[in-house]
Amino acid sequence: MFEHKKIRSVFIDEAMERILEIEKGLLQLEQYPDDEELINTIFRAAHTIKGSSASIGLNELSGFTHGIEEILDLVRLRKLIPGKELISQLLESSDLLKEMVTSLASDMPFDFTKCENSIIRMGDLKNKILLKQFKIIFIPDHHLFRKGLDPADIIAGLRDIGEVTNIKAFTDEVPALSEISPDELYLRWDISIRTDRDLTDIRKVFEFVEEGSDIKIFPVIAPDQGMPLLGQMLVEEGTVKAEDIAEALKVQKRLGEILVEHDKVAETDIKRMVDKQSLKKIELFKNSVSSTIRVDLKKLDHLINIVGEMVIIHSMFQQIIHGNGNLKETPENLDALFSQLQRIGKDIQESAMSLRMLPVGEVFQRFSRLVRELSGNKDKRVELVMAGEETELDKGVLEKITDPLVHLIRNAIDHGMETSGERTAIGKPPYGKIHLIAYQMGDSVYIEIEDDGKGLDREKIIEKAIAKGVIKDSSGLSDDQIYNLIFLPGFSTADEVSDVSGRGVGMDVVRKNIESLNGKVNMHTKPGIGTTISIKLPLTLAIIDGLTVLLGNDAFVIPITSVIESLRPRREDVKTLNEKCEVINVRGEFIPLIRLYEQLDITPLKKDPSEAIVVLVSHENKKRCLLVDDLVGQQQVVIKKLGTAMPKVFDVAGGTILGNGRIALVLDVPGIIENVTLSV
Amino acid sequence: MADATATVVPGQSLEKQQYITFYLNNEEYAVDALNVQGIIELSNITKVPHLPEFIKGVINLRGTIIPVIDLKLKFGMGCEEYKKHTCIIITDFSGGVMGIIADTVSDVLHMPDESVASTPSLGTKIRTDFIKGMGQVDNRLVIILDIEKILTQDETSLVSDITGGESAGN
Repeated sequence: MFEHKKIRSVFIDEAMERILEIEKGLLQLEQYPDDEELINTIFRAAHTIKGSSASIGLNELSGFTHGIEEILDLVRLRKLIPGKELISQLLESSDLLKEMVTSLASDMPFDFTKCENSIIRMGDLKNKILLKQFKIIFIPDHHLFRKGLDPADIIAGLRDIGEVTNIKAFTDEVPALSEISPDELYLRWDISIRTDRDLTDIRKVFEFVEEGSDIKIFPVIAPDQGMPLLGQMLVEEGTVKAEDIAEALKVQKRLGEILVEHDKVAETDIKRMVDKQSLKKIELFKNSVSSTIRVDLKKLDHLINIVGEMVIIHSMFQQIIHGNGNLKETPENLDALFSQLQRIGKDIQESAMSLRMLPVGEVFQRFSRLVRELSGNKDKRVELVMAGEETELDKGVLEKITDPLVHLIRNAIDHGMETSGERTAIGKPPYGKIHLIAYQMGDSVYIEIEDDGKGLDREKIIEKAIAKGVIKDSSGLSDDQIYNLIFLPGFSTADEVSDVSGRGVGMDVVRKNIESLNGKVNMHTKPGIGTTISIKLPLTLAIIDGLTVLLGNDAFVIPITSVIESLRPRREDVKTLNEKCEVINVRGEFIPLIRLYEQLDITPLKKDPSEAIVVLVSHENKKRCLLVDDLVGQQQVVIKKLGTAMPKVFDVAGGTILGNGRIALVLDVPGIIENVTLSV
Repeated sequence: MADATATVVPGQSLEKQQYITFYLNNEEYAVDALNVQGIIELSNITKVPHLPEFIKGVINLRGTIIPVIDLKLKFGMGCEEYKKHTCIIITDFSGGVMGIIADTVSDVLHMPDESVASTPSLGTKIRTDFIKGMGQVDNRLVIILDIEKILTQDETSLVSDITGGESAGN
């Protein structure tokens, strides 16, 4: 049973990866329909899923994948053209596949009847589009009968290689009855045939009659694949022109609109359902982050190499201690060994951390799908341009950044981007562009989302901020400060509030999520030109640089990212306001003092700031001085949770184990600053 | 375990559970042995601010940080200095791992379910929701605790807060 589960979880991981591969491939295929390598990659991915699902007894899943694979095979053989309809259908199928695998992962039964529609449509695709249309104009030799040949045989021959959809005999050359010669052929035919064979195969049918006959065979370009069957048939029959069908289709409305017009359902209901549809897609998208990690073999090899080195050092130590080798217990030898050990320890730490690093491309590639879905819904044409997909981020950070990024991209499309009509009207290209860029600088990773939409409306933000009581008036605020107001709680400038976007909880949640990762988010916008949101993230969550300080009998760690400087103020620099709030004059700037021992309920060794040390910290341009007894120094610490059974404390971000085995609490500077701001 | 099942007296229930018993002052308490990971010496406890008094702080258990609680403070019992025999019982429950401070660990008890009486109603003075039952063994009264309910509803809801919002430690 356990084995079985294990195999299954391996399958789930693999399948998820393959599905993403298929999805990514399909999206690219839409742009480069002729890329053979691409088609092969997608085909192989589907083929792998089919094979491995069958091998662990998931027959329905395997069967369904087989359907997908068949279509891909036809695309590969160039019998199907990967048009929009086909890609959409395959994407839908891969969604279903994803649902199947997710429900497998959560041990939920999957309702396979859901796939029926999809299977039928895939079948349609296979049957209809793969068959090429040929039109044959067959003007046979008048003396055909004399050669012992019969045109009926030809037509029978055509029926053997495909479906003869239309046959029309022209009788205009048939003479009056009295003049008919029984061994002459007066007829000619127009034949339409639908077949999977090539032109040469058709020509072969006419091989014997070719001489003296006039045979024209030309492929009929498949009409627009978006055209419904009826229209296609009418065009084939020659009754209606393709342009007329296209025109008629424009008039045709979506099911939802028709229902509304006939008062069958309220418009809001439809809207809700449509929103629900897109929400579902987003949900599905979120669920697909797995809990396992795929590691580059090189990284593992490197780690194993260093561990090997450590084993050698270990045996050298043994030699020294037991005195049974060439190594003598001299201070020089010990010192050399120790410094080697130190270097190896650092190497191991670094390469162990690098195992947790994943390229951001893993998350990015899913966004192209999201953009496609969202822009399709909104009558906006948006192209996603990605760069720096190879930038690596800690897996933990990467998982938590996905939601905020989804939200930001959704916002950019929903609120930032104009419809293509609006864009053309103001002289912008009809296609909007969203750039998603990642790069590393120092020990931070930056992710930027840049759109060329309409930008933020400065006046609207001010108006709203005043209405919501966020600010009193806009004087003294720089443009950037005003734009960044949208990150404050309860702020949403969207006029129209729907389920998908703009629930008014958007941007502040984004900011909170990013800050919980010790990251920062910033926004620049130019009206009419576009908006750039840049997110700064630490490389990793688990190890931080910290400033260790002493307070009472305990050590505390302050993350170095929030520390500006530490100093011992002169007595005359400590002032009080209203006898309540203390401030410290730091080179002319008055900064509020927080007596950490009061905050943390500790008996301190020193209460006088001019004898103790103050650490100047900042969070979102708010500066505070933290009063501590003494400084120990700066070091890298591994942040750990205080046990899952432990209640959360707002001013503690976690704990770390010091060299002496004791625990030091890591302070949560934003928590402390915000808490004190509230209580003052 | 093998011993326990081999010496079943006929007529006695096969449903026998093992308990670890420990003393808080003069009272004997018990927790299900399946919830106990180990027993360690009392080590340095690092206090965490703003928490109820009975949550003494956190300790370093072989590289992981776990919270430690003092049941005497939780139950409002008289509390003296920690002594030589004071130890920490490491328990494992659905909310995570937690240490419980005990004066001494006394015994491993096999108790058939029949000899465990349900908690009598003791009036409003004493909270009984974290007491699973009372066991009687050779005239000893053992109070069996329900590990899952020692942290009250409010406290466990706080617990789920941190599991959601914390950094990726460990």
